[in-house]
Amino acid sequence: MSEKAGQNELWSNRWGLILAAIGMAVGTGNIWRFPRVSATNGGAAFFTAFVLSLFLWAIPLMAAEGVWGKVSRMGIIGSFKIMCGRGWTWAGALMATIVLGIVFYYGVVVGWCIRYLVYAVTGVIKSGVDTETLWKGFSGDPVQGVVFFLIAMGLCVYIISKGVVGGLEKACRIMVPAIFVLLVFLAIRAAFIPGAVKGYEYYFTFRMADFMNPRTYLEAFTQAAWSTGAGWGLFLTYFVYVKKSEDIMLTAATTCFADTAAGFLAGLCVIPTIFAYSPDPIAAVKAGNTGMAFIHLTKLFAEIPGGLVMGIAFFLALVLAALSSEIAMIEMGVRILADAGFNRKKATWTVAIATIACGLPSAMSGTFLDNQDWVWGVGLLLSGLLMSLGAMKIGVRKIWEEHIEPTSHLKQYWMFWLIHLFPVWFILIFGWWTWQAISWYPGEWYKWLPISKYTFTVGTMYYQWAIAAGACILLNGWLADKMKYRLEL
Amino acid sequence: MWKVTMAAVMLIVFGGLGWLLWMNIKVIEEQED
Repeated sequence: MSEKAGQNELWSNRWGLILAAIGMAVGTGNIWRFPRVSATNGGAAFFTAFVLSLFLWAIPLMAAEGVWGKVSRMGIIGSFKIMCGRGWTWAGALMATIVLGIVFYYGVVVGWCIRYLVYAVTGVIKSGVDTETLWKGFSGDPVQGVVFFLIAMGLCVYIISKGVVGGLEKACRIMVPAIFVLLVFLAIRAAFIPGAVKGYEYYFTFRMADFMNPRTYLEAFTQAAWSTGAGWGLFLTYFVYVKKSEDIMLTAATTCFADTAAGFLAGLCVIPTIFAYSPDPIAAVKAGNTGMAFIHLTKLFAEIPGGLVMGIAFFLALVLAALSSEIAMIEMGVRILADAGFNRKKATWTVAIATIACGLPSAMSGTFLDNQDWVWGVGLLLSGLLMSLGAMKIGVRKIWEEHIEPTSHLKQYWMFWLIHLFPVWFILIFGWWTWQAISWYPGEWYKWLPISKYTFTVGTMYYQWAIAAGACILLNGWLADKMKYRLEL
Repeated sequence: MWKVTMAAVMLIVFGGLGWLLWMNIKVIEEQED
Protein backbone atom coordinates (compact mmCIF):
# COMPACT_ATOMS: atom_id res chain seq x y z
CA MET A 1 0.00 0.00 0.00
CA SER A 2 1.27 3.49 -0.66
CA GLU A 3 0.38 7.09 -0.09
CA LYS A 4 0.43 9.53 -3.01
CA ALA A 5 2.82 12.41 -2.47
CA GLY A 6 1.05 15.73 -2.65
CA GLN A 7 2.83 18.93 -3.69
CA ASN A 8 3.31 19.69 -0.02
CA GLU A 9 5.20 16.44 0.56
CA LEU A 10 8.41 17.01 -1.39
CA TRP A 11 11.04 19.71 -0.85
CA SER A 12 10.31 22.44 -3.37
CA ASN A 13 13.96 22.49 -4.52
CA ARG A 14 17.48 21.50 -3.50
CA TRP A 15 18.04 24.60 -1.35
CA GLY A 16 14.96 23.68 0.65
CA LEU A 17 16.43 20.24 1.36
CA ILE A 18 19.90 21.58 2.20
CA LEU A 19 18.63 24.28 4.55
CA ALA A 20 16.34 21.80 6.31
CA ALA A 21 19.19 19.30 6.68
CA ILE A 22 21.51 21.99 8.06
CA GLY A 23 18.75 23.14 10.41
CA MET A 24 18.39 19.56 11.61
CA ALA A 25 22.12 19.27 12.33
CA VAL A 26 22.78 22.71 13.82
CA GLY A 27 21.43 22.71 17.35
CA THR A 28 22.39 23.76 20.84
CA GLY A 29 25.27 21.26 20.62
CA ASN A 30 26.98 23.56 18.12
CA ILE A 31 26.52 26.75 20.10
CA TRP A 32 27.17 25.72 23.68
CA ARG A 33 28.85 22.33 23.44
CA PHE A 34 31.25 22.68 20.49
CA PRO A 35 33.09 25.76 21.88
CA ARG A 36 33.32 24.21 25.34
CA VAL A 37 34.45 20.74 24.24
CA SER A 38 36.83 22.01 21.58
CA ALA A 39 38.45 24.52 23.94
CA THR A 40 38.90 22.03 26.78
CA ASN A 41 40.23 19.28 24.52
CA GLY A 42 43.10 20.86 22.72
CA GLY A 43 41.56 23.54 20.48
CA ALA A 44 43.62 23.20 17.30
CA ALA A 45 44.26 19.50 17.90
CA PHE A 46 40.53 18.98 18.45
CA PHE A 47 39.69 20.60 15.10
CA THR A 48 41.98 18.12 13.34
CA ALA A 49 40.28 15.22 15.10
CA PHE A 50 36.83 16.66 14.43
CA VAL A 51 37.37 17.03 10.67
CA LEU A 52 38.64 13.44 10.69
CA SER A 53 35.48 12.34 12.51
CA LEU A 54 33.30 13.93 9.82
CA PHE A 55 34.80 11.56 7.26
CA LEU A 56 35.14 8.49 9.49
CA TRP A 57 31.79 8.82 11.24
CA ALA A 58 29.25 11.38 10.12
CA ILE A 59 29.34 11.51 6.31
CA PRO A 60 29.13 7.72 5.64
CA LEU A 61 26.34 7.28 8.19
CA MET A 62 24.35 10.18 6.77
CA ALA A 63 24.80 8.82 3.24
CA ALA A 64 23.37 5.47 4.35
CA GLU A 65 20.46 7.28 5.99
CA GLY A 66 19.83 9.20 2.78
CA VAL A 67 19.60 5.92 0.86
CA TRP A 68 17.19 4.44 3.40
CA GLY A 69 14.83 7.43 3.13
CA LYS A 70 15.07 7.95 -0.62
CA VAL A 71 14.71 4.29 -1.59
CA SER A 72 12.11 3.16 0.93
CA ARG A 73 10.07 6.41 1.06
CA MET A 74 9.28 5.49 4.64
CA GLY A 75 10.33 6.70 8.07
CA ILE A 76 12.96 5.08 10.22
CA ILE A 77 11.00 1.93 11.17
CA GLY A 78 9.43 1.20 7.78
CA SER A 79 12.69 1.90 5.97
CA PHE A 80 14.50 -0.84 7.91
CA LYS A 81 11.73 -3.25 6.96
CA ILE A 82 12.03 -2.32 3.28
CA MET A 83 15.81 -2.14 3.11
CA CYS A 84 16.95 -4.98 5.39
CA GLY A 85 13.91 -7.22 5.57
CA ARG A 86 10.99 -7.69 7.92
CA GLY A 87 13.18 -9.21 10.63
CA TRP A 88 15.11 -5.92 10.96
CA THR A 89 12.08 -3.75 11.72
CA TRP A 90 13.00 -3.77 15.43
CA ALA A 91 16.33 -2.06 14.61
CA GLY A 92 14.50 0.93 13.12
CA ALA A 93 12.13 0.92 16.08
CA LEU A 94 15.03 0.96 18.54
CA MET A 95 16.66 3.86 16.69
CA ALA A 96 13.31 5.69 16.79
CA THR A 97 12.96 4.98 20.53
CA ILE A 98 16.43 6.39 21.22
CA VAL A 99 15.71 9.58 19.26
CA LEU A 100 12.25 9.94 20.82
CA GLY A 101 13.95 9.63 24.21
CA ILE A 102 15.90 12.73 23.21
CA VAL A 103 12.89 14.55 21.72
CA PHE A 104 11.09 14.33 25.05
CA TYR A 105 13.70 16.25 27.02
CA TYR A 106 15.11 18.37 24.19
CA GLY A 107 11.78 20.25 24.06
CA VAL A 108 12.54 21.28 27.66
CA VAL A 109 15.97 22.57 26.57
CA VAL A 110 14.31 24.58 23.77
CA GLY A 111 12.10 26.07 26.50
CA TRP A 112 15.20 27.09 28.52
CA CYS A 113 16.64 28.87 25.49
CA ILE A 114 13.35 30.72 24.92
CA ARG A 115 13.31 31.73 28.61
CA TYR A 116 16.79 33.22 28.37
CA LEU A 117 15.93 35.05 25.15
CA VAL A 118 12.98 36.56 27.02
CA TYR A 119 15.31 37.46 29.92
CA ALA A 120 17.66 39.21 27.47
CA VAL A 121 14.92 41.06 25.57
CA THR A 122 13.09 42.22 28.72
CA GLY A 123 16.26 43.58 30.32
CA VAL A 124 16.55 41.04 33.14
CA ILE A 125 20.13 40.37 32.05
CA LYS A 126 21.68 43.64 33.18
CA SER A 127 24.65 44.87 35.16
CA GLY A 128 24.76 43.49 38.69
CA VAL A 129 22.46 40.53 38.09
CA ASP A 130 23.46 37.34 39.93
CA THR A 131 23.29 34.91 37.01
CA GLU A 132 23.82 31.85 39.20
CA THR A 133 20.79 32.77 41.32
CA LEU A 134 18.85 33.56 38.14
CA TRP A 135 19.61 30.10 36.69
CA LYS A 136 18.92 28.26 39.94
CA GLY A 137 15.68 30.19 40.37
CA PHE A 138 14.53 29.23 36.89
CA SER A 139 15.79 25.64 36.77
CA GLY A 140 14.39 24.97 40.24
CA ASP A 141 10.93 26.25 39.33
CA PRO A 142 8.87 23.43 37.75
CA VAL A 143 6.07 25.82 36.75
CA GLN A 144 8.36 27.98 34.61
CA GLY A 145 10.01 24.87 33.20
CA VAL A 146 6.66 23.45 32.10
CA VAL A 147 5.35 26.77 30.73
CA PHE A 148 8.37 27.37 28.50
CA PHE A 149 8.41 23.70 27.46
CA LEU A 150 4.78 24.07 26.32
CA ILE A 151 5.63 27.26 24.42
CA ALA A 152 8.44 25.40 22.64
CA MET A 153 6.12 22.52 21.79
CA GLY A 154 3.44 24.93 20.54
CA LEU A 155 5.94 26.44 18.09
CA CYS A 156 7.00 22.99 16.90
CA VAL A 157 3.42 21.80 16.37
CA TYR A 158 2.59 24.98 14.46
CA ILE A 159 5.54 24.52 12.09
CA ILE A 160 5.14 20.77 11.52
CA SER A 161 1.38 20.84 11.05
CA LYS A 162 1.95 23.12 8.03
CA GLY A 163 3.63 20.27 6.17
CA VAL A 164 7.01 19.70 4.55
CA VAL A 165 7.11 22.74 2.27
CA GLY A 166 4.76 25.12 4.09
CA GLY A 167 6.13 24.28 7.51
CA LEU A 168 9.56 22.64 7.77
CA GLU A 169 11.07 24.14 4.62
CA LYS A 170 9.62 27.61 5.12
CA ALA A 171 10.80 27.72 8.74
CA CYS A 172 14.29 26.51 7.87
CA ARG A 173 14.59 29.00 4.99
CA ILE A 174 14.26 31.72 7.61
CA MET A 175 15.88 30.11 10.65
CA VAL A 176 19.06 28.63 9.14
CA PRO A 177 20.34 31.79 7.37
CA ALA A 178 19.39 33.75 10.51
CA ILE A 179 21.48 31.42 12.70
CA PHE A 180 24.55 31.95 10.49
CA VAL A 181 24.04 35.74 10.24
CA LEU A 182 23.77 35.94 14.05
CA LEU A 183 26.83 33.73 14.58
CA VAL A 184 28.91 35.75 12.09
CA PHE A 185 27.81 38.96 13.83
CA LEU A 186 28.75 37.52 17.23
CA ALA A 187 32.13 36.25 16.00
CA ILE A 188 32.97 39.67 14.48
CA ARG A 189 31.76 41.51 17.58
CA ALA A 190 33.87 39.27 19.81
CA ALA A 191 36.95 39.98 17.67
CA PHE A 192 36.74 43.67 18.62
CA ILE A 193 36.61 43.04 22.37
CA PRO A 194 39.86 44.22 24.00
CA GLY A 195 41.74 41.12 25.12
CA ALA A 196 39.97 38.78 22.68
CA VAL A 197 43.36 37.76 21.36
CA LYS A 198 43.99 35.82 24.60
CA GLY A 199 41.06 33.59 23.66
CA TYR A 200 42.31 33.05 20.11
CA GLU A 201 45.76 32.25 21.42
CA TYR A 202 44.40 29.61 23.78
CA TYR A 203 41.97 28.22 21.19
CA PHE A 204 44.40 27.94 18.29
CA THR A 205 47.70 27.06 19.91
CA PHE A 206 48.66 23.66 18.57
CA ARG A 207 49.84 21.40 21.39
CA MET A 208 51.40 18.13 20.36
CA ALA A 209 50.40 16.51 23.68
CA ASP A 210 46.72 17.14 22.86
CA PHE A 211 47.19 15.91 19.31
CA MET A 212 48.63 12.63 20.61
CA ASN A 213 46.05 12.28 23.39
CA PRO A 214 43.36 9.63 22.60
CA ARG A 215 40.85 11.63 24.64
CA THR A 216 40.98 14.44 22.02
CA TYR A 217 39.78 11.96 19.37
CA LEU A 218 37.15 10.36 21.61
CA GLU A 219 35.68 13.77 22.46
CA ALA A 220 35.80 14.83 18.79
CA PHE A 221 34.02 11.67 17.61
CA THR A 222 31.43 11.96 20.38
CA GLN A 223 30.83 15.59 19.43
CA ALA A 224 30.41 14.57 15.77
CA ALA A 225 27.84 11.95 16.79
CA TRP A 226 25.84 14.39 18.89
CA SER A 227 26.22 17.47 16.74
CA THR A 228 25.84 16.39 13.12
CA GLY A 229 22.77 14.21 13.73
CA ALA A 230 24.39 11.29 11.88
CA GLY A 231 22.81 7.98 12.81
CA TRP A 232 19.74 9.59 14.38
CA GLY A 233 17.38 8.82 11.48
CA LEU A 234 16.62 12.52 10.96
CA PHE A 235 18.56 12.85 7.70
CA LEU A 236 16.77 9.63 6.71
CA THR A 237 13.37 11.22 7.42
CA TYR A 238 14.19 14.34 5.40
CA PHE A 239 15.29 12.15 2.48
CA VAL A 240 11.84 10.56 2.31
CA TYR A 241 10.73 13.87 0.77
CA VAL A 242 13.43 14.30 -1.92
CA LYS A 243 13.16 14.05 -5.68
CA LYS A 244 14.59 10.90 -7.26
CA SER A 245 17.52 12.79 -8.78
CA GLU A 246 18.72 14.25 -5.48
CA ASP A 247 22.41 13.87 -4.63
CA ILE A 248 22.85 12.05 -1.31
CA MET A 249 26.63 12.28 -0.84
CA LEU A 250 26.88 15.99 -1.60
CA THR A 251 24.00 16.80 0.74
CA ALA A 252 25.56 14.74 3.53
CA ALA A 253 28.96 16.43 3.14
CA THR A 254 27.42 19.92 2.90
CA THR A 255 25.36 19.32 6.04
CA CYS A 256 28.39 18.12 7.99
CA PHE A 257 30.60 21.05 6.95
CA ALA A 258 27.83 23.59 7.62
CA ASP A 259 27.36 22.03 11.06
CA THR A 260 31.12 22.36 11.70
CA ALA A 261 31.12 25.95 10.50
CA ALA A 262 28.29 26.81 12.91
CA GLY A 263 30.15 25.27 15.85
CA PHE A 264 33.37 26.99 14.84
CA LEU A 265 31.65 30.39 14.54
CA ALA A 266 30.13 29.87 17.99
CA GLY A 267 33.63 29.11 19.28
CA LEU A 268 34.93 32.34 17.71
CA CYS A 269 32.32 34.21 19.73
CA VAL A 270 32.30 32.33 23.03
CA ILE A 271 36.00 31.67 23.68
CA PRO A 272 37.40 35.19 23.02
CA THR A 273 34.53 36.74 25.03
CA ILE A 274 35.16 34.46 28.01
CA PHE A 275 38.95 34.91 27.90
CA ALA A 276 38.64 38.69 27.58
CA TYR A 277 36.33 39.20 30.53
CA SER A 278 36.05 36.17 32.74
CA PRO A 279 38.26 36.19 35.85
CA ASP A 280 38.69 32.42 35.49
CA PRO A 281 38.16 31.52 31.81
CA ILE A 282 39.19 27.87 32.17
CA ALA A 283 36.61 27.34 34.94
CA ALA A 284 33.99 29.03 32.77
CA VAL A 285 34.54 26.74 29.76
CA LYS A 286 34.60 23.69 32.05
CA ALA A 287 31.31 24.65 33.72
CA GLY A 288 29.18 22.36 31.54
CA ASN A 289 26.80 23.41 28.77
CA THR A 290 24.19 25.19 30.86
CA GLY A 291 26.75 26.54 33.34
CA MET A 292 28.77 28.12 30.55
CA ALA A 293 25.80 29.53 28.62
CA PHE A 294 23.34 30.45 31.35
CA ILE A 295 25.71 31.50 34.15
CA HIS A 296 29.13 32.56 32.84
CA LEU A 297 28.27 33.92 29.37
CA THR A 298 25.08 35.52 30.65
CA LYS A 299 27.14 37.26 33.34
CA LEU A 300 29.49 38.60 30.67
CA PHE A 301 26.62 39.79 28.48
CA ALA A 302 25.25 41.61 31.53
CA GLU A 303 28.51 43.39 32.29
CA ILE A 304 30.38 44.11 29.05
CA PRO A 305 29.80 47.17 26.81
CA GLY A 306 27.23 46.27 24.14
CA GLY A 307 26.58 43.01 25.96
CA LEU A 308 22.81 43.35 25.74
CA VAL A 309 22.86 43.21 21.92
CA MET A 310 25.30 40.28 22.06
CA GLY A 311 23.09 38.51 24.59
CA ILE A 312 19.95 38.91 22.48
CA ALA A 313 21.80 37.73 19.35
CA PHE A 314 23.33 34.77 21.20
CA PHE A 315 20.10 33.53 22.77
CA LEU A 316 18.16 34.12 19.55
CA ALA A 317 20.70 31.98 17.68
CA LEU A 318 20.38 29.37 20.42
CA VAL A 319 16.55 29.35 20.18
CA LEU A 320 16.57 29.07 16.38
CA ALA A 321 19.20 26.29 16.43
CA ALA A 322 17.32 24.35 19.12
CA LEU A 323 13.98 24.78 17.37
CA SER A 324 15.26 23.74 13.93
CA SER A 325 16.60 20.51 15.47
CA GLU A 326 13.52 19.79 17.60
CA ILE A 327 11.20 20.06 14.59
CA ALA A 328 13.37 17.54 12.74
CA MET A 329 13.09 15.10 15.64
CA ILE A 330 9.33 15.52 15.90
CA GLU A 331 9.01 15.11 12.12
CA MET A 332 10.78 11.77 12.52
CA GLY A 333 7.92 10.62 14.78
CA VAL A 334 5.31 12.15 12.48
CA ARG A 335 6.71 10.25 9.47
CA ILE A 336 6.57 6.96 11.37
CA LEU A 337 2.89 7.52 12.19
CA ALA A 338 2.23 8.57 8.58
CA ASP A 339 3.69 5.20 7.53
CA ALA A 340 1.10 3.62 9.80
CA GLY A 341 -1.73 5.49 8.07
CA PHE A 342 -2.08 8.68 10.17
CA ASN A 343 -2.66 11.96 8.33
CA ARG A 344 -0.19 14.78 9.10
CA LYS A 345 -2.46 16.67 11.48
CA LYS A 346 -3.31 13.60 13.53
CA ALA A 347 0.30 12.39 13.51
CA THR A 348 1.63 15.80 14.59
CA TRP A 349 -0.77 16.08 17.51
CA THR A 350 -0.12 12.49 18.58
CA VAL A 351 3.66 13.03 18.68
CA ALA A 352 3.22 16.42 20.37
CA ILE A 353 0.97 15.03 23.11
CA ALA A 354 3.33 12.09 23.67
CA THR A 355 6.28 14.53 23.83
CA ILE A 356 4.52 16.74 26.34
CA ALA A 357 3.47 13.76 28.49
CA CYS A 358 6.91 12.13 28.43
CA GLY A 359 8.76 15.45 28.61
CA LEU A 360 6.98 16.70 31.73
CA PRO A 361 9.20 14.78 34.18
CA SER A 362 12.27 16.40 32.53
CA ALA A 363 10.60 19.82 32.64
CA MET A 364 9.98 19.41 36.36
CA SER A 365 13.20 17.71 37.42
CA GLY A 366 16.71 18.58 36.28
CA THR A 367 17.97 15.23 37.58
CA PHE A 368 15.52 13.29 35.43
CA LEU A 369 16.53 15.36 32.39
CA ASP A 370 20.23 14.69 33.11
CA ASN A 371 19.48 10.96 33.33
CA GLN A 372 17.60 10.93 30.03
CA ASP A 373 20.33 13.00 28.37
CA TRP A 374 22.89 10.44 29.56
CA VAL A 375 20.90 7.33 28.59
CA TRP A 376 19.67 8.39 25.16
CA GLY A 377 22.60 10.68 24.33
CA VAL A 378 25.03 7.77 24.60
CA GLY A 379 22.31 5.64 22.96
CA LEU A 380 22.96 7.55 19.75
CA LEU A 381 26.18 5.58 19.41
CA LEU A 382 24.07 2.41 19.40
CA SER A 383 21.71 4.00 16.90
CA GLY A 384 24.64 4.72 14.55
CA LEU A 385 25.87 1.15 14.97
CA LEU A 386 22.48 -0.24 13.87
CA MET A 387 22.56 1.99 10.80
CA SER A 388 26.06 0.86 9.84
CA LEU A 389 25.22 -2.82 10.39
CA GLY A 390 22.13 -2.40 8.22
CA ALA A 391 24.29 -0.94 5.43
CA MET A 392 26.83 -3.77 5.73
CA LYS A 393 24.05 -6.34 5.69
CA ILE A 394 22.87 -5.08 2.29
CA GLY A 395 26.39 -4.51 0.98
CA VAL A 396 28.21 -1.19 1.01
CA ARG A 397 29.41 -1.48 -2.59
CA LYS A 398 25.92 -2.48 -3.75
CA ILE A 399 24.31 0.52 -2.03
CA TRP A 400 26.92 2.83 -3.54
CA GLU A 401 26.55 1.52 -7.09
CA GLU A 402 22.75 1.30 -7.10
CA HIS A 403 21.62 4.24 -4.99
CA ILE A 404 24.36 6.81 -4.41
CA GLU A 405 26.79 6.88 -7.33
CA PRO A 406 24.25 7.31 -10.22
CA THR A 407 23.00 10.70 -8.96
CA SER A 408 26.13 11.85 -7.13
CA HIS A 409 28.38 14.74 -8.05
CA LEU A 410 30.77 13.67 -5.30
CA LYS A 411 31.77 10.29 -6.68
CA GLN A 412 34.16 9.32 -3.91
CA TYR A 413 33.41 5.72 -2.98
CA TRP A 414 36.02 5.73 -0.18
CA MET A 415 33.94 8.30 1.68
CA PHE A 416 31.09 5.80 1.90
CA TRP A 417 33.30 2.73 2.28
CA LEU A 418 34.48 4.11 5.63
CA ILE A 419 31.14 3.00 7.12
CA HIS A 420 32.81 -0.43 7.41
CA LEU A 421 34.96 0.97 10.22
CA PHE A 422 32.01 2.20 12.26
CA PRO A 423 31.87 -0.83 14.61
CA VAL A 424 35.51 -0.14 15.54
CA TRP A 425 34.73 3.48 16.50
CA PHE A 426 31.66 2.28 18.35
CA ILE A 427 33.66 -0.17 20.48
CA LEU A 428 36.35 2.42 21.25
CA ILE A 429 34.04 5.30 22.08
CA PHE A 430 31.33 3.33 23.82
CA GLY A 431 33.99 1.44 25.76
CA TRP A 432 35.54 4.74 26.82
CA TRP A 433 32.21 6.16 28.01
CA THR A 434 31.41 2.94 29.88
CA TRP A 435 34.85 2.94 31.52
CA GLN A 436 34.43 6.56 32.60
CA ALA A 437 30.95 5.92 33.99
CA ILE A 438 32.18 2.93 36.02
CA SER A 439 34.78 5.15 37.68
CA TRP A 440 32.09 7.70 38.65
CA TYR A 441 30.25 5.12 40.81
CA PRO A 442 32.86 2.72 42.27
CA GLY A 443 31.15 -0.51 43.31
CA GLU A 444 27.70 0.76 42.35
CA TRP A 445 28.06 1.31 38.62
CA TYR A 446 25.51 -1.40 37.78
CA LYS A 447 22.68 0.11 39.90
CA TRP A 448 19.96 2.23 38.37
CA LEU A 449 17.21 2.96 40.91
CA PRO A 450 16.48 5.49 42.25
CA ILE A 451 17.38 7.61 39.25
CA SER A 452 18.02 10.60 41.52
CA LYS A 453 20.93 8.70 43.09
CA TYR A 454 22.17 6.71 40.08
CA THR A 455 21.71 9.40 37.43
CA PHE A 456 24.79 8.63 35.32
CA THR A 457 25.51 4.95 36.03
CA VAL A 458 26.23 2.32 33.41
CA GLY A 459 23.33 0.40 34.96
CA THR A 460 20.74 3.08 34.25
CA MET A 461 21.91 3.19 30.64
CA TYR A 462 21.91 -0.58 30.12
CA TYR A 463 18.59 -1.22 31.86
CA GLN A 464 16.72 1.46 29.94
CA TRP A 465 18.27 0.34 26.66
CA ALA A 466 17.42 -3.28 27.45
CA ILE A 467 13.78 -2.40 28.16
CA ALA A 468 13.57 -0.43 24.89
CA ALA A 469 15.35 -3.13 22.85
CA GLY A 470 13.23 -5.91 24.40
CA ALA A 471 10.00 -4.07 23.58
CA CYS A 472 11.12 -3.38 20.00
CA ILE A 473 12.10 -7.03 19.42
CA LEU A 474 8.84 -8.31 20.90
CA LEU A 475 6.82 -5.90 18.76
CA ASN A 476 8.83 -6.59 15.59
CA GLY A 477 6.05 -8.42 13.74
CA TRP A 478 3.33 -6.01 14.79
CA LEU A 479 5.39 -2.98 13.78
CA ALA A 480 6.28 -4.56 10.43
CA ASP A 481 2.56 -5.08 9.75
CA LYS A 482 1.71 -1.51 10.72
CA MET A 483 4.36 0.17 8.53
CA LYS A 484 2.68 -0.14 5.15
CA TYR A 485 2.03 3.35 3.74
CA ARG A 486 4.98 4.42 1.60
CA LEU A 487 5.17 7.89 0.15
CA GLU A 488 4.51 7.46 -3.56
CA LEU A 489 6.05 9.82 -6.10
CA MET B 1 52.07 30.13 15.46
CA TRP B 2 48.45 30.24 16.62
CA LYS B 3 47.68 32.69 13.82
CA VAL B 4 48.81 30.14 11.23
CA THR B 5 46.69 27.44 12.89
CA MET B 6 43.69 29.77 13.00
CA ALA B 7 44.09 30.59 9.31
CA ALA B 8 44.44 26.89 8.44
CA VAL B 9 41.32 25.90 10.42
CA MET B 10 39.31 28.71 8.86
CA LEU B 11 40.50 27.70 5.41
CA ILE B 12 39.47 24.06 5.94
CA VAL B 13 36.09 24.80 7.56
CA PHE B 14 34.93 27.78 5.51
CA GLY B 15 36.83 26.77 2.38
CA GLY B 16 35.36 23.28 2.57
CA LEU B 17 31.85 24.60 3.09
CA GLY B 18 32.28 27.19 0.35
CA TRP B 19 33.45 24.56 -2.13
CA LEU B 20 30.52 22.27 -1.27
CA LEU B 21 28.03 25.12 -1.61
CA TRP B 22 29.56 25.99 -4.98
CA MET B 23 29.11 22.32 -6.01
CA ASN B 24 25.46 22.54 -4.92
CA ILE B 25 24.96 25.67 -7.01
CA LYS B 26 26.27 23.76 -10.04
CA VAL B 27 23.90 20.87 -9.29
CA ILE B 28 20.95 23.24 -8.98
CA GLU B 29 21.87 24.89 -12.28
CA GLU B 30 21.95 21.43 -13.89
CA GLN B 31 18.55 20.60 -12.40
CA GLU B 32 17.09 23.85 -13.74
CA ASP B 33 18.48 23.15 -17.25
